[in-house]
Amino acid sequence: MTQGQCPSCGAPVEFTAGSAQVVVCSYCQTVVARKGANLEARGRIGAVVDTDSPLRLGLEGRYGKTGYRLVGHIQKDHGAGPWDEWYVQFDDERTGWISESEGAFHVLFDAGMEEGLKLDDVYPGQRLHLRNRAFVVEERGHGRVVAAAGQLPSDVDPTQDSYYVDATGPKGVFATLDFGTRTQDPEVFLGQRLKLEQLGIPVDQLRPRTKKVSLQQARCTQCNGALQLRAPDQTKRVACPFCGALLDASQGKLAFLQLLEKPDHEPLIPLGAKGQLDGTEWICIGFMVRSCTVEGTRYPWEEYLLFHKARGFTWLMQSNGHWVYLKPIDAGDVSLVPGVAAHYEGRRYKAFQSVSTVTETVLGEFYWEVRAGEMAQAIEYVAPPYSVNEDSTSNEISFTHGEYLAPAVIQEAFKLKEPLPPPQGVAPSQPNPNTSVSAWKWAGIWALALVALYMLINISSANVGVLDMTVTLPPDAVSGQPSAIHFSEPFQIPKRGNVRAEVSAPVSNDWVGVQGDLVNQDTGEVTSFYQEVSYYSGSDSEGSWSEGGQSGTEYLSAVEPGNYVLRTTAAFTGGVQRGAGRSFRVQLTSDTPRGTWFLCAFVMLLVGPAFAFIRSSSFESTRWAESNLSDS
Amino acid sequence: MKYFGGLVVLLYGAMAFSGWEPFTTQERGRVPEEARRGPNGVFLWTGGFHGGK
Repeated sequence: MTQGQCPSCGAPVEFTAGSAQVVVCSYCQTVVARKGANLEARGRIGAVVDTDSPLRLGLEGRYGKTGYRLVGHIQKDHGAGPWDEWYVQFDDERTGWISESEGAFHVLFDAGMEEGLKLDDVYPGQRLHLRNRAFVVEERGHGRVVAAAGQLPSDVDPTQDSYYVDATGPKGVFATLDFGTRTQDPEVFLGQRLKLEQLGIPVDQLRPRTKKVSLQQARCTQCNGALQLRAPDQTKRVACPFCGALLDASQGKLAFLQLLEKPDHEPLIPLGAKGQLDGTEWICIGFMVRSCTVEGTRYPWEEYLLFHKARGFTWLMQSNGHWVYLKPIDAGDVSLVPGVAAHYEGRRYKAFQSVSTVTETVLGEFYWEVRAGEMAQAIEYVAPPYSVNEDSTSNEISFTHGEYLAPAVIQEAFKLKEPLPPPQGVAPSQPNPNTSVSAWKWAGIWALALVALYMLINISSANVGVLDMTVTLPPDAVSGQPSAIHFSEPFQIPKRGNVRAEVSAPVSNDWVGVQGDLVNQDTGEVTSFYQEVSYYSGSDSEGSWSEGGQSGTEYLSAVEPGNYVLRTTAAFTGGVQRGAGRSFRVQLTSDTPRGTWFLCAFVMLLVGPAFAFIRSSSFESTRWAESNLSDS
Repeated sequence: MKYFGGLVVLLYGAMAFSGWEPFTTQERGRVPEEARRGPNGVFLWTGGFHGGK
């Protein structure tokens, strides 16, 4: 049957969805169940309350190519305010659910039971394989159905607390494990996270978002201070900036929870300040101080909660004057090698630190049930200037993607009048200002140019031997005297260029010095050099030894082309008899390329990158000295 | 490095093409006035300018 009367009040009820087993009477809130041909009352359920959901019963939309209709609505609560779930009937007879969470929508389809999986065995961060897909558990929670409307696939019991596990996969894939009141064998719902515009519902059909007007201009229940809430629809906790009272805002009115210690200084970004970041104008609505303690030393940092109506929530973190812009990401999009690295969108992030954190003080509005003393485990993975940050508690894990920002960016974005504190030390995701990449790039470019130039010089050089003479001294030669002077035959230097002069002599435990005067016969210009050849050898108690050599080389700066004669004057030890029979050889090579200068230039090109590398390494050493996960 | 590297290459090129030897011990001068030319027309002298060492 599709129509009938409410067994409780007699009002008409109708089943339009073939899969629906119960319908909630819109007059008396009785849950009416089909039982054969009859209708049966199953008790009453609370009426749905206004939330900020843009959906309403009866709305029609399109998911892919299939039309659907919202036929049922339940509200669940675990004490921190209700959330909405919608039962969906598709045109192709499929049924599913649309759930809402912090402005996002999840379209989910029943994928059967997962037998053998126990609730106690599931924990945040755990990797699961469901229906051949990989998921990461993000949250383990519970809640009761406190209100319902329309048609539903099964009876609802407002007295029963049911457990669920939410998990995410890559690219928005979403899974909910509905344990109900059981402790194992959950029902699996698989689907996709969507934005409101992806639900395929005409904009004019959407319900205008309900504002918690009463909260927009509320007053603190403790000090009566005026509280201006910027995101009243999603705020669950408010920390009064005047007295420090933490107030519950989840039930549509403020209720005192606890008195918090106020921060010892004002937030650097005032609550309510607006700033342009990432192409969006954010408003700062919350401020908290968290810290960790390592070896007895407390390390605090500040977190600023930013809100934008369409984009939701994001964070700015400030630590020692360093700022990081943090965007929430799905756990399913992050691949982890715990304690080693994280991979996100094709980039590898190296594990930097893992610390136990505590929330010390809070101010402003928060979309979760924040409380002072809240403990969490935080792990940071870095690939400067980016980072992936994991925050986990026993029931929830969340990931954010961070981007390091200079204080000047924050100063400019929020138009802050007071200067921000200068950064101290090195932040985990701070980009290395001394990166050697650019230096290496330019060194490579210029090295190629240098090699090309060297090759060009080698090709164009004459590099020709112009003189090769052996001089044997006459018996009466006296060292340094005219008798030891020798003139070469005239020779020609064909091209302007340097001259390599090689002097060799068969000396042994002796020396000979050669004064060379290269005389341009056309101009009378003389280029003189002196090259001494000495070679000594012997043996002592430590073995044989030798020093010096039987040849030496001198390079002369460029000489003009022309006809030349080389005059040599020999010098040696002793008198007349010592010069007898001595000989030496002189070879002159014109316009010879100098590999030495090429090597010197090459080494000089390496100086810049090497210097940058040293500075870069020093910076990295300072960074990683603070890491407790690095093995280096 | 962008400019320093260019300067290094430029200096190397200038040195190579000019033939300048910065660390040479050479000395330059002229043949003395009294130098005579020998049978082949070459300068022959045993005194006067002595460069080098």
